[in-house]
This record gives sequence, C-alpha cells and structure tokens, in this order.
Amino acid sequence: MIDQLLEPWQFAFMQNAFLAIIIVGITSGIIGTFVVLRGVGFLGDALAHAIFPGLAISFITGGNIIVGAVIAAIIVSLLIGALSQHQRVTNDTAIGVLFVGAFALGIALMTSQTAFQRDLTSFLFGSILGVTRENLVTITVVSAMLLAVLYYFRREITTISFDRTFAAATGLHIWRYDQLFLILLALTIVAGLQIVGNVLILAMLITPAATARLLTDRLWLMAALSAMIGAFSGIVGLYVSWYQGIASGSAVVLTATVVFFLAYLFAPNTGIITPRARRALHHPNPEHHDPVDASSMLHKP
Amino acid sequence: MLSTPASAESVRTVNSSDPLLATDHLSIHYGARSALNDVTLTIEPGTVTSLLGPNGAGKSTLLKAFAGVAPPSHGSIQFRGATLKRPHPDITYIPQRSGAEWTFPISVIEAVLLGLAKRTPRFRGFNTQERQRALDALGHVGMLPLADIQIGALSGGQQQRVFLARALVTCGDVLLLDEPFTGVDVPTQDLFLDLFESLSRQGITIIFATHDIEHTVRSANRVILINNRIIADGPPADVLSDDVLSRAFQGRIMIFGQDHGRLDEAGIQL
Repeated sequence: MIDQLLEPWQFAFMQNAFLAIIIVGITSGIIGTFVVLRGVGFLGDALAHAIFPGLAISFITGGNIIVGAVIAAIIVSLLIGALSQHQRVTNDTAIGVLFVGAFALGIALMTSQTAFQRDLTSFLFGSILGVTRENLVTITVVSAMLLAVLYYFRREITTISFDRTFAAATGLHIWRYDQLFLILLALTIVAGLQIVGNVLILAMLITPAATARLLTDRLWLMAALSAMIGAFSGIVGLYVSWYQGIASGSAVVLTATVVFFLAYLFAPNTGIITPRARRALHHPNPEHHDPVDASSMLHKP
Repeated sequence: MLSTPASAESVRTVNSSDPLLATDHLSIHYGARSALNDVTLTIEPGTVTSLLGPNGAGKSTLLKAFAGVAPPSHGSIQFRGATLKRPHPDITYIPQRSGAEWTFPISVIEAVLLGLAKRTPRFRGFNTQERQRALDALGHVGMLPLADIQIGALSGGQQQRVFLARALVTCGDVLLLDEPFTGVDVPTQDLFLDLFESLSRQGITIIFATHDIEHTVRSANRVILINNRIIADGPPADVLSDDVLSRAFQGRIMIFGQDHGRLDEAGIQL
C-alpha cells in the first residue's frame, strides 16, 4: 500500500504533477468559491475555452504558453465587459459569442499546424506528462500572485458578490472589480490548464466550491474547505490516473465529483440522507423541534 | 477651482452657512425617459424628510442622486456647499432590499462589518473594537441575539434591520432609505420609526422614500410630494391635507382615512 502510494513519486514529472495539482486545487478551490457564490460558472467555462487562441499562437510561435493564455484571457474578458455595455447585448450573449468564436479560432490555428494534433488533445483533456519544472514554477508564481491580489481586495470582492446594490451605493466601482475578478479567474484557469485541460478545468472551479458550500455557512471556511477538497481530489485523481492509465484531468474531476455527491448525500446539516437518519435516530416524533434551533425562531422569507 | 476632496470637517466649519444638502434645478433622465425634472430644494440638518409619491414618481432617483450614484442630466447636487459627484462617506444610502444574494454564506455580524470595510486597514481583520461597534449597531435594531445567524435565514423585516445596522455602523451624517417600510413586519416598522426619532435627535439627517402616508405622518417633519417634479413641500399637516393632495393629483386620489392611506393603492391614475 505504502509502496503503491510512493511509486509515482519516484518520477520527477509525477512530483511536478502532484505539486502542480495541489497548487491548482487550492487556487481554483478558493477562486471557485466566488465563482459558485456569484453564479458565474458559465463565464468560467467560457474563459477556459476563449483563451485557446492565445495558447495556439504561443504554441506555434514557440512563446510561453502561460503568457499567451493570460494575454488572450485579458483580451477576452475585457471584450466581454465592453460588449455587454451595449444596451442590446446581455452579458450572457457577449460571453456566448466570444466563447465559441475564440475557441473556434484556437482550434483553427492548432489544426492548421498538423504537427500539433497530439498537443491539441492534451490541451483539451490535460496531460500529467506535460508538467515541467519550469511549468511548476510558473504555476506557483501565478497562483501566489492571484491569491495575494484576492486577499488584498477580499472585502471589495466579498461586497460585490454579496450585495451589488450596496456595493454601488458605497461607491465601489463594480465594473472594475468585475474585470479584476475575470482576470483572476482567467489566471486560475491557465494555471490548471496543463493538468486538467481546457474542457475540465471548470469542474475544478465549481465542484470543490459547491461541495464546500454544502458543508458550511461561513465564507472563509467555505474557501478553505474548497481549497482542501480541490487539492485532495487532485492527489487522489492523479493516483487513479497513474494506476488506471486514464487522462489525469478526467480522473481528478471524477474524484471531485464523487466527493461532491458524498457531501450532497451525507453533509452533517444539509445532506439529503443525513438529517433524515438523524431525525429518525434522535427525534422519533417528527413534530419535535430542537429548541435551540434558530430556524424555529425565524421564518424563511 | 479644483474640486479637491477637502476634508468634510473643514468644509463644514468654513462654510457653515451652506445648506447640508441641496439640489439646484436637478433633472435626471434614463435614456429618453425623464425620472426627475427641475427639482430645487434644500435639506436642513437633523430633519426627517419623507419623499412621498406613487411608484415611478422619481423618489428613488432623487435618493440615488443624494447618494451620488445617479448622475444629474441637468442641474447639480450640493453637499455642504460642494458639488456631489460620487458617493460621500458621510452619506449612507440603504437601497431597497432586493440587491443582496440571500444564499451568500455570510452571518449577520459579518454583513454589518462590511459597512466598515472601507475604513478598515487592508492587512488586518476586524478588531474587537470594530466588532463591538457592529454588535452595538445590531443592538440598536434589536438583532443582537441573531448576530451569528446566516443572513438568508432571516425574515424580510429582520434583513432590513440588518441593513439599517450596516448603515448605522458607519455613523454617517445623512441617512437615505429607499422604501424602508415595504415588505417589513409591523414591529420592525415601529422600531424604524423610533430609531428615526432618536437618530434625528442626535443630529442625523434622514431622508426616506415611501408611498405610505401613515409612516410619513408618524415620523417625518417634512414631506416632499413628488411626481417627476416637486408637487408640494412642507410639514405633513399642510401637505397631507385632502385639499393639497387632491389638487396635486388632479382630484384623482381617494384617501381611505389619513392613517392608512397608501398612495399607490389609493387609486391614483397619473
């Protein structure tokens, strides 16, 4: 058992992959908390696809992939913001148009170079073999930077996520913070791209955070739990990928999905099964209410 | 002259003759629609003013203008003699409650602390003193026992109390409230009326928008009747006479007893 756990660690590329997925799991778990709370999953999906032309161009020209992706992400996020300023273009529409358009452009660029067919697959679905020491350094630096920025603006981002009307009333520039959040989101996606892949990175943003939301009513605890679940899913997923020979991205995402459903069914307070089992155990009379339960003092709106 | 953000304190002492809050021929348009037309008024410190009018009359727009979030199309707004172009820290605006994400994982006290976010240094959390201020504010609105509850578990009236606490915690000199009595239970309405009275005794200026005559009569010492422009302005006893109201609304208003009249339900067709 111990041997099996240690085996992948003998290889430098697997060490890189493990460290990378832990960092990506933590970062996407924390940023994903705000993606889930703001209900902007579609935007995350869109960004993940829209950075594709940046990847393709840097790949073809031999430039740094992460730099290319970040530039593409910033361009696309600013374009989403700019397009949705138009009275007849909703935010969703702007995202949809740019998302598919940019993705198609990326595929067009990639397939114009027949030599990159294999790399296309690894970008779409992730590849543990692809993580170099240099990539690991970039992922670490990018993640540290974006978490530092998130920490610095935590109150503003919390305020605009919780109550936009109040945020505007206190003079916060909502548009600027929305753009900032988009850029942070794009950087998170880029950091996770190599391991999880373009298509599945959305799950790293949504699933751990959604799981954490089932477990707590506290924002920062949710972010912390989400980071832990993300890292845990990453580690377990990589082992599964190693031993079962399946794509690393899908193994990681499937692990996170299983964790989500476990929480969905068995979460201490909100699980579908747990409260019933507990009620049956402790309160045979269904009319009985716990006297210290706040919900008995309050009525839901 | 450069519009430097001179400290509010110095402006107040230097130009003590300036009115606290004033508009000068203020008009606000949303696209082609005129929300507010040629409004000129001044607000005295420590007063409680009710902006009364039917839905869509421009009450909320005028509040937003005072809050610095609705830019004038024509005319201007002055706060302590200086033109108001953006939200001012001494003016606290409480929007109608629909803006918040109720499922957000935030407790009552954390929501109140967000009111202090701008004044708290970035590299530390909220300290004991700030928490105490938040708790005090919650005490004022009778929400102290529920400080640690997730905000979505509260009733509409309780949520509105929390938002009032979030405003009180910053101790602004001017409090702007948009429909504070709407969708709120009677005990909360009474609590708000009491609070308005004690806050105005402390010198805080309160302006609220409502379509409710009863609450206007009970709390305001000035009523501004609005329907796109100012229709009447004065003490409630003068403005809310049947005579003025029926003249203002071209005789198309019926008031079912002064105490319970609500303009929007009173059959106004404007």
